Amino acid sequence: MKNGRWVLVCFLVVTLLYPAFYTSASIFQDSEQEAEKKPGHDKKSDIIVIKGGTIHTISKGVIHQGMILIADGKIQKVGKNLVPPEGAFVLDAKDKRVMPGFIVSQSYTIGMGAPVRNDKNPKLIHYLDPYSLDLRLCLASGITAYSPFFFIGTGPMRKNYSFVNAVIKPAYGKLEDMLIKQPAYLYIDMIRLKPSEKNELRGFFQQARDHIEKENDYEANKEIKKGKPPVASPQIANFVAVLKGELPVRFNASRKKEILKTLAFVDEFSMQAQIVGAGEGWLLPEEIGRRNIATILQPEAFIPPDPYAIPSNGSNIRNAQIQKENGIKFAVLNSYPYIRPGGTIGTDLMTFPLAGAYAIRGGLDEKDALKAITLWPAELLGISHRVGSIEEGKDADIIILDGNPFDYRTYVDYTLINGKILYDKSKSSLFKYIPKPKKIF
Amino acid sequence: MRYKILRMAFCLTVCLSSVGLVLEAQKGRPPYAVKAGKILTITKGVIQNGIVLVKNGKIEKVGKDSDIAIPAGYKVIDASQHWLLPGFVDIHSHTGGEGYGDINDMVFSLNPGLRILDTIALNTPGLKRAVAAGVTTINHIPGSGSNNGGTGVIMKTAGDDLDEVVLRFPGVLKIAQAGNPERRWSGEIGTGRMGMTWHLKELMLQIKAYHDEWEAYESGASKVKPKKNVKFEYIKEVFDGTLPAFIHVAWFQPVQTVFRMYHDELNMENAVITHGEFGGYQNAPAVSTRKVHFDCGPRLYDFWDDAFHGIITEYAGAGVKNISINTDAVGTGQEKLFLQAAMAVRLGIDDKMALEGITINGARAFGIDDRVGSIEAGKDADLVVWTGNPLDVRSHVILTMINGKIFYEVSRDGQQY
Amino acid sequence: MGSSTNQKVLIIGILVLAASVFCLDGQEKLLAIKGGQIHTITDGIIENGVILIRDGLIEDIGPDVLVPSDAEVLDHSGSFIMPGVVSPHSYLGIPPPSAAEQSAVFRSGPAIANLAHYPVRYSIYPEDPVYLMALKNGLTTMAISPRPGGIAGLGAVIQPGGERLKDILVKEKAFLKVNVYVNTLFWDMLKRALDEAQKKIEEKKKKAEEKKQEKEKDKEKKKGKSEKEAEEEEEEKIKESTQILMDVVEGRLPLMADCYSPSALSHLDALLSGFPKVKVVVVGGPEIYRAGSLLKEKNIPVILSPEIRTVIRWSRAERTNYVLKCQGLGLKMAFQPPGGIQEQIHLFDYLNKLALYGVNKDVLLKGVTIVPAEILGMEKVVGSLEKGKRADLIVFPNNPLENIPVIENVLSGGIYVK
Repeated sequence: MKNGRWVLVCFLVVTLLYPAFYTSASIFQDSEQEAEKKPGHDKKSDIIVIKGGTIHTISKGVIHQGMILIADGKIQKVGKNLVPPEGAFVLDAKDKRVMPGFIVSQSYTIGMGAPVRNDKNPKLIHYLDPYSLDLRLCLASGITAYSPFFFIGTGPMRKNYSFVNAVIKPAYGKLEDMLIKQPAYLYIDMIRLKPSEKNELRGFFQQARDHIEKENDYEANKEIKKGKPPVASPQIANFVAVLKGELPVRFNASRKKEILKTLAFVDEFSMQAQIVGAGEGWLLPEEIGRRNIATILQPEAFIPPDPYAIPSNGSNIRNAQIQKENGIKFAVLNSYPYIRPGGTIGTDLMTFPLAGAYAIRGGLDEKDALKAITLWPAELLGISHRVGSIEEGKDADIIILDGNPFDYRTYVDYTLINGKILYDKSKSSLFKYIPKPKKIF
Repeated sequence: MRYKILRMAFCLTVCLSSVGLVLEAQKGRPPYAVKAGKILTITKGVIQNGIVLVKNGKIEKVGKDSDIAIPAGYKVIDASQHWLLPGFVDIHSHTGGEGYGDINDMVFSLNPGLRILDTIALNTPGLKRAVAAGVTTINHIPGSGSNNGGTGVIMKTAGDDLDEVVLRFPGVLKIAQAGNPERRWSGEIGTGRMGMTWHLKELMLQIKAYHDEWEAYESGASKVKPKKNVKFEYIKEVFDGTLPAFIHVAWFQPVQTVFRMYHDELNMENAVITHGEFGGYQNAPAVSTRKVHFDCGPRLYDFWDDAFHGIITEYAGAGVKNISINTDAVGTGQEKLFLQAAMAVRLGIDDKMALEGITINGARAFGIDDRVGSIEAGKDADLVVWTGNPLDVRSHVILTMINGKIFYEVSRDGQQY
Repeated sequence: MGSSTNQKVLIIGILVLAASVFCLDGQEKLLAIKGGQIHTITDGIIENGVILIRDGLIEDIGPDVLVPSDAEVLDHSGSFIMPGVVSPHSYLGIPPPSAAEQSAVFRSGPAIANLAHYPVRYSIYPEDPVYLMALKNGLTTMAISPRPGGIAGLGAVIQPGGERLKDILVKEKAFLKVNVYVNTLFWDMLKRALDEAQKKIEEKKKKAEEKKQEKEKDKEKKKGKSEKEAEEEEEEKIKESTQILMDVVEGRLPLMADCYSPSALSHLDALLSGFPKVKVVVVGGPEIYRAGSLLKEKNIPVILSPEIRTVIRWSRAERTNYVLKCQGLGLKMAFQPPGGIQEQIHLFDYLNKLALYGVNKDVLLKGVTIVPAEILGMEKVVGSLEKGKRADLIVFPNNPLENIPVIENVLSGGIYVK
């Protein structure tokens, strides 16, 4: 069982790194109502049981009228005829849908400020604000993990920022619960990369490749040569990780020519690549699929067609389905992957599942669309051993919805992160002025 | 000056003669019989398993399939598994031209003579997507860079030529009360709220005087023929109630100004508040007691007091009727009109109200509800076949017919949106 | 202890006499104050009690204290008497950094400036009239904090009323001031400083143990003097800033952290997770109550501005009574008005308003006396009216939290200053 071993290894690593991770102080950590006491719930009952409802496990099918047992921030048991332990806090999910929290494969900065100017080596976790409104909005939208990155600046700052990204859980008020991974990927903006910078980048990769060769050489002739193993300079350390396949690379490429450039790069240095955007990816599905590249799509984003192009290009609503037909793994994203109460709705992360709904509009199966907002983004971020589906041993990042996630009337009722109920719609002030949408059709 | 007048006169003739031309062009089109599983007529309820007959670009008959026999020679469109809706109406849009670059002329704050008609471009990617998303009628207007950007045009999103596309010109008088014209800093009065209001009031009084002069002359009360003023020639009807004043406005105070100045003081009967966000909903009770139309979008909620407030929900809750929903495209894509309605539902209104908001309500406000906005006999044949509930993101358009001609069909063009 | 304080008080007394034209008398010997309502803070309210003051210290306090015949009796019956205010954190008299200073010290941003060795006492000018003004308005003990930098420096405690620095300076090293920034620069700087201090502490411990063992082995060989010299030399090697941070890590010196936002507090909490002994005091902003659970868990006192502040969030101004929210969470609070002397002299107006808006009066009075005294490690000297404490009193005609607060008299070290 390779999978099981992974879980164990990561469990150990995480417990060693974050001792505070598993000590859940209290189950309710709601935002505004912190000052008020939560009725019917105290520190003693650390076990939560979600009872009834339709459970979408994502990886192992749908369970009707099932039950989920949660303790120590992990999913302990999932099944039909379970007996809840005494004293457990029971969340009734009757007539509701239970699923793993949504995972946003890439977002703009959420819950943090911009990096200060003179910060030459910023780390994303040091800019997080665990009391940000953004995080509450994430929880209210059912998002339990997202991957922000600092905007690519100009000039020499740009390449330093390639690694400034992370996978974050929006655990309101708990900084130690938030970080999952940092960095999560190497980000290369093929759209804005200047030729000179591209050469520089290629230089880094070449250095990293040389370093790996040296390492291999050392390993092979260990006994004869007797010396210290080669050490990578900090500048290329991450690139070495990339070439070793420990860290994925993300290319921001949307138009066909940018995707072709990316493919050339991938061919030169074999690496685990992902393409963000890929708006014209439907024109080259076989090329992408052949190289085993994953994509992060924005099904609703509009790329105007070039009036002189034959065959016609631009965005295509069927992009996701075409990727699927060619065996490409993908995740979907809204066209504006940020969250802020600015007034417009429907295209940002506040309605994240609608990205999946657009993929369905373009012909994708509903089951696959569900995977494209949960399990597949987790796989792209390399965190699927912890989140992305409802399985025993995984983190208890679970949401309870009052309907089909792809319906425009559906709201999130509860959001749990690490086994703590961080959002409860009935207790939150966010939607108190909005009556429940009536279903007429 | 003479050249200008000549040009105006020429355009006027073209516009006036356009109605006849349209009929001529539409007469050649084949008659259709659309069989649909579910017809949402908007004004006359839902018809299960119905038929719509289309002839000469107009809807001939609507009814249940048991009541209507398809005459010979009618081409049958079989949508018996699908839903049939009227084409959507977006009364605040800038998609008719080629984007933002062409809709603002920001030298003067008041430009009553400018016409958006001069910017119309057909078959743009934006309009094609609009057709593919079931939007068939838009109110294409100048931007809000100046207090009065000119006049807008009500147009269809596709057609064989310009004459067919234009539904009415002048469509509206575009006014931007506050919330954008401030950026046109001129160094003179008119960048603060008071100054802008003063400018607009001056203009309105001028138009009113002009209108009254002509009215007196035409009714015979006065025998002096007033001098023609090209600037006000198209827009004097704004005081008849036939030409709507389309007012871009946000925040509490300017919304208040709108109904106080235009409705109460100037007695204008057809003022339209568009946007009305950023706390403008606090005026909703006052708006509900006046004959002022409210058009919401692209912002659909305000976030105050640590909570979301659905703007339409608040206005409707205070008793404002006939609310329409817009996209303000290009900003939000024209194709997202259905999404705007869907999100309005998410924020608290019901599906029926949302669908009316993107069809008949806007048409009523503009007095074009005899042509578009619902499926009724005698109206323009703007019909859209959907795979399911049009507000659901998962369903899509299969066929779009405008003025009795099919401009988009999935089986022919591929799925565009 | 006693004698040195007495001397100090004597000097202060003389100097106050010399400096202040408002000074009434110099009764160093024996003073009996008859009060109407004496708020002792730690021991309840004494109705119609007497406070006996000898040499600037409270000799006795209670309802039935016998007044010696040689004592001068001052009748404040009917008045409201409370201990002098201890101000926990202010920049009074500290000028903002000059442009030259800014460019020299903060070439790469204030967040990474480590000025741990910088003592604020060098910036205090005793002749600055703001101190006397503060004293006349009841602020008998004041903590002065350095202003800028990630680690801003050492704060001092003064009791104003003297002409020379050594007269007014009570504590040179009262706390280490840190301005918490939410960015990687600050994080790395503080983490490095703390880690270094921790490392040095461990090294020191190791050496001490080794030496012990050596001593036990070579008890016969006594080289008293040279050994001592060696020790001193070793200690000198440690940088002064590191020495101070070692004190902080071991909990000898409190860490006063300016965390305006709750986010800053959470980052500080994460930073200090490996250093359990550190004694933290938080200077909080109007939204600090969001991180209330962090403060409550570790019983961290928080210094707040006693206001009802308007917080602007998402273009909406929200009027927040954050002190009431913190009170609801059961936090330990001390109060310090914002800004300069213009604000400081209105302390009781601020408190009065908060009392009107529902904050517990007891919490308010404790927050300006005993809690800040505890924060500054001076709870045995000031902060309440008890036997043996410094005779700092404020006399009001009536309860300042219920009426318009007008200070009738202030005694600092048994001497009238108003």
